Amino acid sequence: MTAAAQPAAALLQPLPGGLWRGSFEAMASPCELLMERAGEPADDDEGEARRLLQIACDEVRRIERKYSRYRSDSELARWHRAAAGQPGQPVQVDEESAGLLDLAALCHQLSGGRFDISSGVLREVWRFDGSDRLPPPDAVARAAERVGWPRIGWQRPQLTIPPGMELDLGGLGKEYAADRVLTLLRAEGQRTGRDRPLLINLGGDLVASGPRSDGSPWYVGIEQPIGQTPQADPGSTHPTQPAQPTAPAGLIALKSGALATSGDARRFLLRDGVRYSHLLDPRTGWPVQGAPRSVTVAAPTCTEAGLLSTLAMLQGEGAEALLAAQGLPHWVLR
Amino acid sequence: MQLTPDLNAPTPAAFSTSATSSSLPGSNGTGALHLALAAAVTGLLGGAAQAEGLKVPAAAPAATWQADAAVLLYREGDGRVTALEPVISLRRNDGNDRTTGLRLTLDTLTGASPNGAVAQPTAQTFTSPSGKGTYTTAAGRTPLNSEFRDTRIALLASHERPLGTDQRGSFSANVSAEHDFASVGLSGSWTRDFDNKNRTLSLGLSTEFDRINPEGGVPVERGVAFAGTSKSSDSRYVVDLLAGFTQVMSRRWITQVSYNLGRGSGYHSDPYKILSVVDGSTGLVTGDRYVNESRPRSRTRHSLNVQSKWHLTQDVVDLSYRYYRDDWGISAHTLDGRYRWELGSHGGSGDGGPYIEPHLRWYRQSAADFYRTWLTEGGEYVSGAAGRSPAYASADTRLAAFTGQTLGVKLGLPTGQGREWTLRVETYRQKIDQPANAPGALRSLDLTPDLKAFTLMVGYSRPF
Repeated sequence: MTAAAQPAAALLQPLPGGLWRGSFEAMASPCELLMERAGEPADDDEGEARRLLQIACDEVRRIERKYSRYRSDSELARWHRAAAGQPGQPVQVDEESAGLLDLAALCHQLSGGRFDISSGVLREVWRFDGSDRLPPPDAVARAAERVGWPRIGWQRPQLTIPPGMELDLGGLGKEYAADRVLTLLRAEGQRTGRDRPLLINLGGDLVASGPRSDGSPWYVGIEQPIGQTPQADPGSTHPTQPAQPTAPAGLIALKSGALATSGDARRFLLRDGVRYSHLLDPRTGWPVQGAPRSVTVAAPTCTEAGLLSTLAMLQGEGAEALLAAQGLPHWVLR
Repeated sequence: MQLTPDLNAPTPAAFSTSATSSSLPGSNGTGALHLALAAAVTGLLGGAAQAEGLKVPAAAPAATWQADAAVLLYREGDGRVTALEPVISLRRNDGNDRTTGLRLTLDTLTGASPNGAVAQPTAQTFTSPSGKGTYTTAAGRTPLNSEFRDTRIALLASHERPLGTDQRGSFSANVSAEHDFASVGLSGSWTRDFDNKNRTLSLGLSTEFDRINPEGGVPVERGVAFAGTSKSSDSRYVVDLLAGFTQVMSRRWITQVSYNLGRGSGYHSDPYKILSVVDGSTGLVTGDRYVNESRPRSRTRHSLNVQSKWHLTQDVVDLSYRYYRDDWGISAHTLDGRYRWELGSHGGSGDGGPYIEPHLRWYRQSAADFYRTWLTEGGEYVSGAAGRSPAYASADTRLAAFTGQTLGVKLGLPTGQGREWTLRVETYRQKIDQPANAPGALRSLDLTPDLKAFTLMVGYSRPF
């Protein structure tokens, strides 16, 4: 999708195995909704599937519009304008935003300050383009002075953003949107009496309503590992070696709940052999040391899975320890 | 690059150092962070509607089954061997990375196979191995035993499991049977990851016991062909040791070096292969005419394999080189290259997209010390009751010096939910070195015709 004024429409297509696949672009990611077909005959179901897809697409785009840091008409932009216009004066936020801010505050507390939704300004000095260009330390220090959740005035529902500071809910938005879509579609299914198994995938963060109606799980592919293929016997030129049909690698069976991944694939700086992760420690303004390449977590909700994977990444070398203590399935790529 | 499942995560105690050095209050108590976040998120998403979601997700620990089925058709040119091989395999992953598998292979072979005798300017007649009949080869043609017909059934059971966090062990057993051959094998391997799985060491041991019951009995080695047998069966025992080392060189490059040492002892000859005894000047079959082949009763093999894979943005390049040598005098080089070309992605929810994988393989081996296209009467072979013959001799072209080339392509077509169709087409061409100093009539004949073969494989794989 280009930066066109009107976003492209959502697409619906039938898939083998009794599924509808809806797809659309939002939050700079490919979004996908898999729905089991319901009702007989199948033709009747297309309109219903299209309606559910529209609900999903509208909800994701609503959240994107509301919390985008690139749009001047977003709710987030309104907070920043209010802060700039009347410094020190609180702005009143709605119920949904208050819930998200509460969650951000909790994560800040739980992470000892590593998770901070005011850290976005560090991006003004850090450009993670795979190059070796580190920002000058004094520029980092100046930017880091404008970071710090404790200096944000938050007394639900009153928010006060000090001058020069900015909030960014990008670290929560996609996962929250996935959970919201599931909540809406479930409610819709109950309302119409056509509750059906669903899988929502927003750019790799995903949540399932439950198992498929035959009880089988949803299969989620993870990046193909390479190497370690079985070798044929060297001396043998006999061509009828046992055939070894290749199976898709790294398949996760997801019966219910969510999976979310945090990672820095392709977003890093490399200097003198040191890889600087795009993950910045808001306490210092410098990249987190020893962060895994990516962390995937399975949790009951996508929001939680996403937060846990981010908190684990921010923990650097301690990512595995943090995850091990939670008792949830997880995958760490180093 | 591999996303490593860490499902049987260590107890928090195993990580006590890093856990206490962490300033995360939640990470000290088991699941404290999880519970705090779960409660907060439930509040955010509006309570009741989401309450059922609070159950611990039945994600990866669910057991999964994978079924693979494939049919392979192998066909050699000039009416030689045709093999049809259906394979069915089932694999179960218990969700904790313990996999158990069972594979059933059925092989039917029909057609004709060279019996080892050399072409002649006149027709030749041979007794079939079963002793029940004869077959005749036309003048100028390489003699083929047209009675070549067999069915093989093989069953393989395997089990693989993690041993702690960075070690894995596997064990497998297989049995295979044909009407004149039976084999039982056991193997085990152990792998260990080091340095955050950037290095992996693996060690393996496998053993195999074979029993050979040729039709009509085991021919007397070096004896005159079709003249009787010594015993009804013989056996062979094979042991292989494997050591491998895998190193992640970069995010996109992985390299593996492995060494294999194998030793077989017992009956190694092919009971259906003979050699022609020809006159040194005319090249015509003479004296005892045909003798049974004979190979050493042991074989020690070494091979060294180096393989690298590069994961490009999407595509994967796989190159390998293998050096092989054994104490029969065969040394071989293999170069193998594959390029997995991704044709596009399905989106994030299922598998990768379709792909095309061209495959090129080049193989060159030198001949075994005792490979002979024929034996010369009065030279190293002397016919008659008190005659003499070399200790070992075989005209099996698999022991000759030859070059083999494989050209193939594989097409993979995922259809969602982990299901995938694969189609593989390969052509193989084997060029056997022509023997030097062919006497008389043999000079004008094609003694070692090229072998051309074609392989087609269709496979389907799905989880359930």
